[in-house]
Amino acid sequence: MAGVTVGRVEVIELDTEWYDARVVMELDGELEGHIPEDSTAAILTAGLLGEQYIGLSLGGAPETLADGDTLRDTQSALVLEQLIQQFVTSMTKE
Amino acid sequence: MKMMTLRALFAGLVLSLMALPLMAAESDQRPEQMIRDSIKDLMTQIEGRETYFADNIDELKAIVDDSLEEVADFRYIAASVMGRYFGNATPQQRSRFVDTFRKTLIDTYTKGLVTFDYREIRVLDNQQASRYEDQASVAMEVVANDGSVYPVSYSLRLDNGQWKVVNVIVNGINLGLTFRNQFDQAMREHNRDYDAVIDGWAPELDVEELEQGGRA
Repeated sequence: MAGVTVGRVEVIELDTEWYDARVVMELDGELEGHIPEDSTAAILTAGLLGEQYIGLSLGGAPETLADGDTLRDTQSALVLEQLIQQFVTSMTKE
Repeated sequence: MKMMTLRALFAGLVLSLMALPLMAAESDQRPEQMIRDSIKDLMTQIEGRETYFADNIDELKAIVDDSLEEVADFRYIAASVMGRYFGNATPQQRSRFVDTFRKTLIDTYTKGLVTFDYREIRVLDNQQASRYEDQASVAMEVVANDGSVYPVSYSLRLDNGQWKVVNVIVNGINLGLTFRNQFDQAMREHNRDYDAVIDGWAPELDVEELEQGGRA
């Protein structure tokens, strides 16, 4: 968050009901009650080809998240291979 | 007498239990139906009058404004876009941003409606069941004239029994987050001068980027 490490990813698992990923994070306790419910979790990459991490971007809603709550607004990772594929496809179309 | 009351109570209980699945089904379907109706209504008003609206863009803006007013929660969206800066803004700045954000978004959306060559906007028939009781998403597809299909998903939130759109994901790109990052960037550039940021606000949507998309 804002370039500061505020926690770590505990578990990454496949949610077989929805077939998307569920990530469990442990965050600093002092953040409890300070993360609005409309905050966003995005998968970001450090550097061009670096490691991936989860970036938290705070929302503006009055209700805040407590221990065990879920960040519902997300931004999935930009997959470089897919971007290249889409780029190639759009090039060949022209 | 006592027997009567008990029986009435029992009948009432049975009735309400029977109504439960109905109610659940209804609340599952409502966001989708709401969006479906809203888009159909808007498209009916535009259809065949594209050239007229291209010259009378303000009329189309008014139609789009009315249409979005019913389905979107602009106060919630604007607060979410301001994000961490929302708390320190004055009530005047907050409501001014709601107005500016809404106006500029409607301008952009209206221009998109008359300039982007789309063939069809369809709400998908197979919607994923909602994961949360008070949140839903409605999946749509925008089909361009060249046949390209762009997935669009509305995120809705249940507020006082009313479903309202609070975010839009276009081709995997979270627009709410995109605008929030834009607001954050502007605040940095203007030394956290709220009024300057609000006055200079214009939604930056890169159509190319949206077409390229984010994730899969």
